[in-house]
Parts: sequence; C-alpha cells; structure tokens
Amino acid sequence: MVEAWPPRAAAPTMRGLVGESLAVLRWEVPPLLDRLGQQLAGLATHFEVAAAEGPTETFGLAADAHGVRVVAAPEAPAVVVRTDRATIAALLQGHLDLRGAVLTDRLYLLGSLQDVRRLLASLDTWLHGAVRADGCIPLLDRFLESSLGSSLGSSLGSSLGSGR
Amino acid sequence: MSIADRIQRTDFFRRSPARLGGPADHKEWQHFIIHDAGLELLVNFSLADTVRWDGRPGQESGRLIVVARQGDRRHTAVERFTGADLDVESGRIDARFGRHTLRFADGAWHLSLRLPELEATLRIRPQTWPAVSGNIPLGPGTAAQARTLSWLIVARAQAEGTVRLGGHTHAIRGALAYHDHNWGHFRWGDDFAWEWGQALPADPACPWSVVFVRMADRRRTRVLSQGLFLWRKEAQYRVFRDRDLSVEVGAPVSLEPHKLPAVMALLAPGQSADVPATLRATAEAGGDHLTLLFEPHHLTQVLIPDETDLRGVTRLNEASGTVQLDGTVGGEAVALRGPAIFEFVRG
Repeated sequence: MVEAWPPRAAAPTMRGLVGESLAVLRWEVPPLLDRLGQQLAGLATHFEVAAAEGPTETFGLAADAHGVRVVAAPEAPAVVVRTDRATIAALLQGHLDLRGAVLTDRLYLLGSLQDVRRLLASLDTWLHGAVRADGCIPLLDRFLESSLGSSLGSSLGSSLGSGR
Repeated sequence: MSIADRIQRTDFFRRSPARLGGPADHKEWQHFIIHDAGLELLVNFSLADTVRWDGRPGQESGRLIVVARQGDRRHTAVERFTGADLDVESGRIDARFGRHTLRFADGAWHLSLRLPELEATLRIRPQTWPAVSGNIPLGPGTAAQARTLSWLIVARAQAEGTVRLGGHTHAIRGALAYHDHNWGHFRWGDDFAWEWGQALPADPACPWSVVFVRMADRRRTRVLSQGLFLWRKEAQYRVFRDRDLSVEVGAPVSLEPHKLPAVMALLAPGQSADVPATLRATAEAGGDHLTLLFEPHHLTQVLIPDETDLRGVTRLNEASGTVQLDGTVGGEAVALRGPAIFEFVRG
C-alpha cells in the first residue's frame, strides 16, 4: 500500500470548529459569549451535521457558570438541529437564507417554539460575535475549504467582518 | 497648476494618526465608480482603525470592496488586509492591498485588481477639478471625540483599460467615471446617516456633472447639512446648500438587495433597505434653479457590524439607477440624463 505524501491533514470537525469559535469569542468579544451562555443556559441542544464524506457528527452545547462548551449530544434534548455541511456553507456564502433552508428541509429543527426561538436567538448572538472577531476568519476558511473541497474559502473567509 | 497637480497635493492617503499616538477611530476610503456601457464597476480601497469590544482601539486594517454589475448579474468581493499585506504610505497616492494596487502617476489613477474571478487594469484620468470639504460634523460627538468627515470629490473622470470577468475581457475605452476620497474620525453606529449620490451624462459631450449630499442624524429626523454640486466641464459651476434645497423621497423601493459580505446577510435578512423609489431634490437660489430626480434600479447592500453596539448593523445601500437633472443656472439651460449611484446609509 502506498501512502500519500505529504499526508493530508484531517478535515476539521464541526465540533472542533465550534469549540474553537467559542474560544475566539471568549478572547475577542467576551460580552457576546456571556450573552450566548445566558441564552443557552439549561437548553439541552443536539446537533447532527452530515458531511459529503465521512460520518455524521453529533454533539451538544452546554452553558453554565464556566461558560459555553461543546459536549456530547444529550440523551434528552430540548432542541434537535439536523443539517449538513453543504447547507451551512450555503448559508455562510449567502446562497441560502435560514427560512429557505428550513422550508426545503435542509435545516431541520425540532423542539418547542419557545426553545427553538431561544436557539435561533443564540445563533444570532454567535454570529454577531463571529463577524466582529478576527480569529473567526481562519475558522471560516477552514470550514469552507473542508466542506466545499476547494480553495474558495480563502476569499470568502476574508470577507467576514466589518466593511469600509 | 494642473488638475493632476492638484490631485497629487490633496488626494493623498492620510492614514490613522493613532499610529503616532493621535486620535483613534480613523476611517478613510478611496472610491471609484466607472459607468461603462454594459458594465458598472465600483471599487473602494479603505483603511480603518478597528475597535475592540470594550471600546479600546485595535489595529488599522485595509479592505477592498468591488461591485461589478452587468445588467442584472453582479460580481462582488470584499477582501481584508493587515500587516505586511497592507502597504500604504501617508502623504502619497500609492497603496498596495495584497495583490491589488492603487497609485497616481502621469496624471491618472492606476488601479490593478487581482481577484479570483475579476481582474482589472484601469487608468482613470480626472476631468474636473477636485472639490474639497473639511471636517464636516457627523452628529454630536464630544470635544474630545469629534466625529467628522472630510471629503474630496472629482465629479468626472475618464477610464481606460480592461476588466476580465467570468472568462470574458471587457475593454473600457473612455468610460465616464467618478472618484471621491473620504477621511475622518467616527465609529459605525454613531449618530449619523448620509445620502450621497453622483450622476454623469450618458452622452459624454454633455458638459454637466452633479453630486448630491445630505447628512442627517441616525434616525433621519434632523438634517445636519445638504448640498447639490454642479460642474460644467472641468469647473465647479454652482453650489446649492442647505436652505437652497428641498428633498422629497418616495415610498420604499422594492428591489432585492445583493448583500455583502455574504455572511452578514444572516444578520440582516430580507429586503429591508429603506431606499426610496424616487429621490427628488429641488434647488433654488439667486435666480438659478435645478431639479434632480433619482430612480434606483439595482441595489447592493454593504453590511457593517456596528462599533458602538455589539448587536447592531449599519447598511450602506449602493443604489444604482438613473438621474434626470433639469434647470437653469446663470441663464444657461442645464439638462443631464445618465447613470447614477446613490448611497443611502441606514442604521
């Protein structure tokens, strides 16, 4: 058997990227991480993210006095989010909006209306932090490159954040 | 002194004084619009002091914004530069943003853009004298933190060069163009809004060029200043200010905005742009009168995270459309029909 050289770096996992983004928010925009923690406190969330290659990832988010962190998917979630990397990439590239993703079943949300609204509000907070944090630019690059299988990410990721 | 000499002496990059211990919150951009048959191109080289979450100043960063429109098709790009990727010397018009360059030499701006899907080599030669306004107040601010904006306008220029877009090369030969350069100290989200527009004639033989400006508070309940600036050939010919001018805006236009950076569309979804379907400015003073009517046909929305509110977004609506300008100045009939881009800043 001939191994490829240089060896390909392992594709970044969703749970790894989400975890790194939380660390970036803690460093660059801590008030928004605090707010994210308040919004997610006590809300058991279960994420399932499928990929074109490789297994579907499952994980959860937990918020407590120590902050927000990525954890194993809870057994009794209040909200389930089911999607795939291509849909997340399409959302980040502006090819799809949240409403369109839900209506076309590319983003599946299960939970009480109140809990789903809390989760969407926390997503909004996370995004406000991500677009203000320079450290999220390379994370977006890595996500897009690994999800789209191309080098599109570098130009897209660099567009994150403030304008003029 | 020639127009080119005047440009050399006034249009240079200022750069942030914070680099030398001066005031922060500096922002500056060199803006170009080219109206060619079949292609409209907007290029913006900007520098900005970033602001940390706790209000402390961050590093200076550069950004290139490009919007190319061919009919209903648009190609847009935003790229950000820091450190060694950003080479801008204060006091000169000579900048490198990554692989993109802007310099002024031999009486013209030279732009070189090397985006993944758009490459352009352009020479833009000024045709009107630059008009400069300094330290225009942007909302209340404080004595220690004055919010001001200065601008330089070259209402008409002529562009030559090539734009390669989507595998096709578009030759630009003598297209009319516009340039402005803005610099000042403010934060996105401060208590201001502006409406700023330029129009050039479809017929290059027409001697008129026009610029409209209106500055207001963020909620647009109070206009701070307004002006209509008319050029005849290379000279500024007539200025109408403040009380010389009345402005009427129509109902909000129904246009699907193209948003950039794309990821920001998640924070500002939908059509909400608050751009009027018509803007009519009527100017009258000293026996002269002008009526300008702007109608937008395409909308690009540049979305900027506020620096004063961690959950706020400012929208820079770049509305591309047409202008009709009619009136009489100095006993001479004024008539202009042509392409225009108006920018509507909304909080």
